[in-house]
Amino acid sequence: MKRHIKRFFFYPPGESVVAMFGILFVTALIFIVILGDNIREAIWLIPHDRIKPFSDILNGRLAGFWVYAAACLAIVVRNYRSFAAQSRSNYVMKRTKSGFEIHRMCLTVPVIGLIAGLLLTYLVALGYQEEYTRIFSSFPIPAEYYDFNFWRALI
Amino acid sequence: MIQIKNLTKKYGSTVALDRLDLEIHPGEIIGLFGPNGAGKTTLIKSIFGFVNYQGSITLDGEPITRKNIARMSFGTCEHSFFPGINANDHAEFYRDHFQSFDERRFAVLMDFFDLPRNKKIKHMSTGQQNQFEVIMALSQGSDYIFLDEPFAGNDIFNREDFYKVLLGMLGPDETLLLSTHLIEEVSGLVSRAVLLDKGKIIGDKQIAELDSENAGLIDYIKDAYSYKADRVFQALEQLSPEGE
Repeated sequence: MKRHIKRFFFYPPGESVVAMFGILFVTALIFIVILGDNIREAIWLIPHDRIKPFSDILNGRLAGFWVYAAACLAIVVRNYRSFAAQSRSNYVMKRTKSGFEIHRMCLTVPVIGLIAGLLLTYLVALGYQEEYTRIFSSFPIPAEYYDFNFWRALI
Repeated sequence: MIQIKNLTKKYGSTVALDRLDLEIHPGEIIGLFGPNGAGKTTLIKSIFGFVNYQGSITLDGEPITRKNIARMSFGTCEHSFFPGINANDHAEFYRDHFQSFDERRFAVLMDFFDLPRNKKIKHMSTGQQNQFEVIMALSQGSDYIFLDEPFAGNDIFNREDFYKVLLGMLGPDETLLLSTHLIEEVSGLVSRAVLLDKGKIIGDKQIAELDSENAGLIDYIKDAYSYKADRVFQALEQLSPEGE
């Protein structure tokens, strides 16, 4: 597998794909999963006579995703800079047949990471909606209270 | 053939190349000479399109694009290898990205310079890095090889042997343009000397012509640059107590 990844160089030669995913994993863990836990807290702390719609509870509570997105962007910048650091290997890249090659190397890992992070954030929000539904389904609240507006979690 | 017409390159108000015309023919070994700041590196970078310029540069009548740029290779004292991977991984990369990568030449040159195959290039000495840079430029399988001050920092024994290997190695249609200050060393290697000064070509001569005129390359260059033989004497005279 390592040979396979290396052969197609989905990342700049000499850069560590393990380190890149490691950074993304730790950032995701801190800013999406752990900080996202305050949604659970919010759900449990709602007084049952003043239940809020789920979207209101979400209200930017997973905005930590943007820190994660910034980490992805930092990796993109680092990847591009690696072709001009210590040597000008971008001169070699400019001679390769496909002009997209350097972008493929610089973008693949962070873009995969970004999509995976977005999916993780979505799943975290979805999990809390499940919890909200489980807790409040026996209460007489309007159906729209259960509406799931993912973007409310991010902004 | 690489044809350069009316090439001008400016860095702000500084003119690095001034309406320069040059033709590089297949099979030539060209020595590109000139003092620091003459425009040698800028000329090479313009040919590769690494810098913007005015004028026209064509390769066999076609503009130089991704389609034909792999017909040219570039070894530079700035280095263009991937520091974080080893020689074997470089070979693999070149194999994947340059169809005519010359495996045999790569192996022969690696052995000639006795370079380690499994060591990351950033962990090699500067001399070894220079050698590796040249190896990759020569092994890419290109028709036109450009070397810009490739041996800055290498010892003379390695360089002299290398020139001999290079002469025996290049095919009849392979073109080499060597930008260097080591004029004396490469005088036996080059077939043509192009002299640059302040962004202009001030001399362009076949070595065979110089030979037939019984003139040496060094004298030709000194003459072209109006070298003042007595400037050392004058400077020393000014420094001496009598000169005060």
